[in-house]
Amino acid sequence: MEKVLVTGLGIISSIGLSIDEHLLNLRSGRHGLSHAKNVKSKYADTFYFGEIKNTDADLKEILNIASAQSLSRTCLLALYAFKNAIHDAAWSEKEWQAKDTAFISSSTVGGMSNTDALYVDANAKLKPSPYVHSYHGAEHAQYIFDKYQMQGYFDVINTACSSSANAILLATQLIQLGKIKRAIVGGADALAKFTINGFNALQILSKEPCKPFDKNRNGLNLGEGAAYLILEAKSEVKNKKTYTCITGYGNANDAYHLSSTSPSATGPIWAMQKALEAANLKPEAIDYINAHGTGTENNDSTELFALNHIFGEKPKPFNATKSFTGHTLAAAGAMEAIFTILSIKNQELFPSLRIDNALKLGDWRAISTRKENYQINHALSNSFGFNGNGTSLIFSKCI
Amino acid sequence: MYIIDSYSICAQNFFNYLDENQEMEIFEDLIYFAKEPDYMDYIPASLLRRMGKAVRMGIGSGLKLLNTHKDIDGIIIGTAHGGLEDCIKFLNQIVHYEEGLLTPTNFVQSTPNAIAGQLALMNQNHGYNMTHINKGSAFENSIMDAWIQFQNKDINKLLLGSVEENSDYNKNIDFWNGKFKEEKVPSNKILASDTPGTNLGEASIFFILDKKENKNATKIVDFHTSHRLQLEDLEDQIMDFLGKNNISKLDIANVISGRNGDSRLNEYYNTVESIFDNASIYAFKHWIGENPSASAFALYMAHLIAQNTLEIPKYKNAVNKSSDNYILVYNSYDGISHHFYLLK
Repeated sequence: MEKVLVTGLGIISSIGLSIDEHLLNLRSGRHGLSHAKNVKSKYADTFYFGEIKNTDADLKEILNIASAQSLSRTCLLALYAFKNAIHDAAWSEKEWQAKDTAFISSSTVGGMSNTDALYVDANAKLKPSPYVHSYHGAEHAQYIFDKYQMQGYFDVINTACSSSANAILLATQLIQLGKIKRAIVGGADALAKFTINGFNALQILSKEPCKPFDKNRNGLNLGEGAAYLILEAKSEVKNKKTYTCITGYGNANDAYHLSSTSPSATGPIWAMQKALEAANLKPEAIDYINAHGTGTENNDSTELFALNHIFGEKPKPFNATKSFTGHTLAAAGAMEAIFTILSIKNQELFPSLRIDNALKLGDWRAISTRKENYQINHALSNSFGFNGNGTSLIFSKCI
Repeated sequence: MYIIDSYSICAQNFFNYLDENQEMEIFEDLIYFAKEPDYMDYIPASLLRRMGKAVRMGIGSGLKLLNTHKDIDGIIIGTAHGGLEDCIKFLNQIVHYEEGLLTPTNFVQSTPNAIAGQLALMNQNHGYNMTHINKGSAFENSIMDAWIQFQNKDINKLLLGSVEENSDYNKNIDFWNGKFKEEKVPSNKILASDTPGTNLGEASIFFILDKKENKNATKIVDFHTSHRLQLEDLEDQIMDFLGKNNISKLDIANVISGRNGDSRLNEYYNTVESIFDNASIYAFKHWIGENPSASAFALYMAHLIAQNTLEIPKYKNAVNKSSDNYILVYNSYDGISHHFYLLK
């Protein structure tokens, strides 16, 4: 079976516009949560958000896109992270236009980030807005696929909060099976009135910076961003900068409730077990876990139960990097894959923020301080979503 | 992989009931609505009430198959739009109630993964669960996904489905985007019309796929999608596709063509159909309408033809019908992505 390497990373979130900036902020514990300035919602000053401070106009300028062009914010964020990823992997046309290069992306809100324009167009109230072509969840990916004249396998996924983890899972399988040689995978979601109101209706948004794995956690912060990873077959890569390998993946459904996880953590446990089986690893081989850790009452207690169930009484270090970025929905899986990869690459653990009164199960509790020179050979990253969708990924130091 | 069972909720009861005595209905309007079964027989009323149409049609067809195939190892859904009607309902609530405290039902039901998620919940299936939304390729992505998962030794049987509903969204936004004909053309005349645009039809088409051959199984021999294919390259692309599978055009006994009466695409379908003199040509969008996952219905029809389930009226008869039993499907939703399937 072909080995899968990660050779490029691209990311944009509320804690940075580059890998270096993310690394700096993750190390120093500087989060990106604040009241919202760019997104138009009456809740902008009620809740905390992981909002990227750059406006659409700023992003267009950075990306060299005419200010008049009507691209959704989701699309701009996706394009930004996509560009950085291919640059990081030193790809040229030869790679991205190859027939054996796949593009697998994901988004939940897609172009519906233009909630107000969508309202007008969907109800055919007036002449169509310039965004009329742009609402679909796949629009950002279609735009990139066309702009880069890509030729290979093209897919867009929406499994809610596990979307981009599933994009990574599918591309990994395609490379392992020899169907493709390389892939760019990830996801993007912009903050939107639509999702803010959706999560508010579920009453799981926090009015403070979120506190995943704290006893007094009171909900999640919605974030925005995009993250893409370049995956390449080991046989294709010679003397190239490589971050880590991808060795395991597991996808399972909790089959319990549409918007919350089961107390027995059936889905999360299955997803992690399948990932360990695919990687052919025993639980004790895992050195660090990047948890889904949203900061909701329900998710964190279920996930902690699942970790304890899989890995036993002896605790392993785990954190919730959503305490930095907020929950970036479809982008979260790829974003946290990147944070996991950076931990392995640099052999260090980033802190989980705002744990004042740790949620505990036996000796298990999230790490709240940075640890340097920490040996990580294998790390697991979790993504769980609405409708029971859950995916776990394992990244390993390349040997 | 093999199709071993299928279920349809579309605009024609001929296909829903698999009954030759059901006449094909003719629609005057450009929007064709699905004839839904009586879900009350098998979906609890309390759940049914909360389901939007896409979710209802998806659950309604998925559960029918799960009744007889309880042992599936995963659920894969392809849907370009998911529960858009719920999406727009929630959107309208946001605007009408000025972002007041809203009920989350429409929001939760509007996410495209609600169909696969609720099927898993109702069937207590903890296995692989995936939802593809890549517009006119969402169904093709599901087929590829099934192929990938079948390479795993633990996966032997999958529920795979596609759902597309008619909603205000596609009625209005697709209209603005130029998908529809501007003039009204009745369904029995639409394939012959030579103006831009087409019709719209909702459908929910589900399959049980099996890794192994089985009696009454239709083999999905191969499938391929070409992006940005030029008309002049179409014939070469088809011949490559057949060649890769070591068959000639003479081996194809039946062609299922996605023609939809859109003058911008007619030449593509003419080109493909004219390659296969020895095949009967079937069309279907004058019966069920166009939607981004229409290939799913083409595969459904291929299964019916392969299994000789019922006599489906042909679009064109073969000159010298091939004695082989290969079926070729060709479909394109947007003229950008072109989908090919070979079945046997």
